[in-house]
Amino acid sequence: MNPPVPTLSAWPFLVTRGILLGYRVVIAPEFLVSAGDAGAVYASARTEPGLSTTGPITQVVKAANGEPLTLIHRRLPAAVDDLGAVPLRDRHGRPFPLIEGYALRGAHEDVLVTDEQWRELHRFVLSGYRRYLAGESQGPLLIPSREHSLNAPATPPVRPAPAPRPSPLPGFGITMVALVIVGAGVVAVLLVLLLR
Amino acid sequence: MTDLVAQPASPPAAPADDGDDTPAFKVVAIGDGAAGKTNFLAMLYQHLSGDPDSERGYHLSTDMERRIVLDRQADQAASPGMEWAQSTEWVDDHIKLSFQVPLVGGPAEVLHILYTDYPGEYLRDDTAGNKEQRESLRQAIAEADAMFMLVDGERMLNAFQGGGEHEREFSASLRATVAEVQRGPAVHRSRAAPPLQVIITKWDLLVDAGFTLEQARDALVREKNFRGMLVARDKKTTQDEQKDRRKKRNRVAGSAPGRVRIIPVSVLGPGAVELVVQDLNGVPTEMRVKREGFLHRPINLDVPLAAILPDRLDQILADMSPQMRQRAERRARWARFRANHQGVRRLGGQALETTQEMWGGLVGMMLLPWAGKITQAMLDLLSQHLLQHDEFAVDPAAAEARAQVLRRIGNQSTQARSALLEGFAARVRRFEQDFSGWDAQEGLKLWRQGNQGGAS
Repeated sequence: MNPPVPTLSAWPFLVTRGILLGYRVVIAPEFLVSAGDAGAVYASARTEPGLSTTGPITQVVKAANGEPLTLIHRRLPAAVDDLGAVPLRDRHGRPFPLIEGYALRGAHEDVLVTDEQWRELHRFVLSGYRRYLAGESQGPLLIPSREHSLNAPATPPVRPAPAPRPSPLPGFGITMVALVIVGAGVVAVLLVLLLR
Repeated sequence: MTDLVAQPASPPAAPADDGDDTPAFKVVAIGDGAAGKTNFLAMLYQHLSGDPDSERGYHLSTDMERRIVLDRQADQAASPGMEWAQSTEWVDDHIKLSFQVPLVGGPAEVLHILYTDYPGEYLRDDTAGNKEQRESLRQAIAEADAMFMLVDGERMLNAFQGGGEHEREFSASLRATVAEVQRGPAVHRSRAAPPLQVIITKWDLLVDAGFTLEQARDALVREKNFRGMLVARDKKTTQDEQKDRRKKRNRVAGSAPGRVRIIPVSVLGPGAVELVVQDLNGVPTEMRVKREGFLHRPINLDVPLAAILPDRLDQILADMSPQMRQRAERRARWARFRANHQGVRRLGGQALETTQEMWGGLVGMMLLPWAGKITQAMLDLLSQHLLQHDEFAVDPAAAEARAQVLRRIGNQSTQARSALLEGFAARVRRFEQDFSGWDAQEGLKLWRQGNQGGAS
């Protein structure tokens, strides 16, 4: 019998814009929504020159209460059809992305998201986004997401042990203080002589 | 299995202070969603960076990663069809463009523009983005040295032609934009209102439809909030003009500080874009489509930047009375004297270190933290000081040669800044001659005459 696969709790989220309204958090973990802090996952929308936005990205951010959150997300072009062949556009004709991902409580490294889990996420996100678009003209909708399970790393991340700090020699500090005091006096005398 | 890339937890810090003492101006373009902020910036960069030998006398440069992004956006904006830059989703306040002026021996960097781009929806939607993002934008507006107020030419055209709902949309968009322009200086009351230029984007649409700048100006002035903004700035202008009369000072550009210009801008030029009914998410909708093979003739892309620097310098000078200026100069001289004096004393100690071996190690150790603060001026002063002592052999000829090099660089730098200012002022003068109707205050005056001085 195989041992049970260790799992991590993860909550789906979606950051995107609508046809009418601008970018915002559309789907957020229910614990963030109930805390009024759904905006914490908006950090996944960060762009800047030189920052790759193509592949899945892992990012650790802080919630308003100081708790670290791990965001694992990717960008896909928003599409009229689910295959992404016809881009969805805002009312000004501009294409835009869907930024979809999982949020985990705490700081995590090397979390595994399988292809099947990405597909499952995408299906969930699209169904929520359709609800959002259907009611967009009445105002923005924030959809809370429930807990999912992701595979925990097979082996815990190994961190190199911090190098031991050399212990100071006994009496080193006192010697240095004495040297500095004596030295300062000497330097002051020398500088006065020099600038005379 | 998925390839995960670790990213830093917090946004990257602002560019490090690398000792760059080139003057920098923070510029923010305040405009509604889809007003054309991103396309304007990308095309402005491409237009002003691509021709370093032009008669303009300067060109723009930026770092490699930024250039790649701006070039991609500009290429997309210029390509035929209906593709424009993707809508912006993040406040980007690290856009640094540098003015380069050609000098003997290579271009000299004389001025930085620090520009902010952001999602325009933040102006009208207090739930868009998140709190930190909206705060970043507020901060950028509050700290701006100069502002561009972007009026969407397409919304204006729709209001001209469609009336009703389109007029309400134009008014709402303008109201939100004016509110942010007005709030900027209110945040920092100790500062004067930063210079403002009103840019009407997508001007080609209005030109192609037969509208003039005077008509556009009058449409703006008819809006109560826009008039309120002009009245507030007009008061400032009157005060400044009184100051100027007292000081009998000649202006660089011939205009008073606080002067609001209405600058029509098109990134592609007249005739490049047509409104065509296209399929938009399954709904037939009139869209802006770029024509195939059309020769691009951008309109006034360089004028807004050319206008802000003379205005800003004018404003700084106008805000400083002769007494204030003298006090500031005295303070600067005293600070320089103290810094140089301390530098000489420290370096004097370091020089002794070479001859007094007994204390050498200790002196060197104590001087180490100040090593980064030693300036060329300190070295020069030290050289002069050491020349008085025979025991320190310093070559006077080499010292003089070094001083000459420094003087030449200083002169060139001053010349470059001066040339840039003159180039800007000339460009603004040409614009003012070519585009009747640019003066917003003049529009306000005409509106008051037409309404017998009411409602302001």
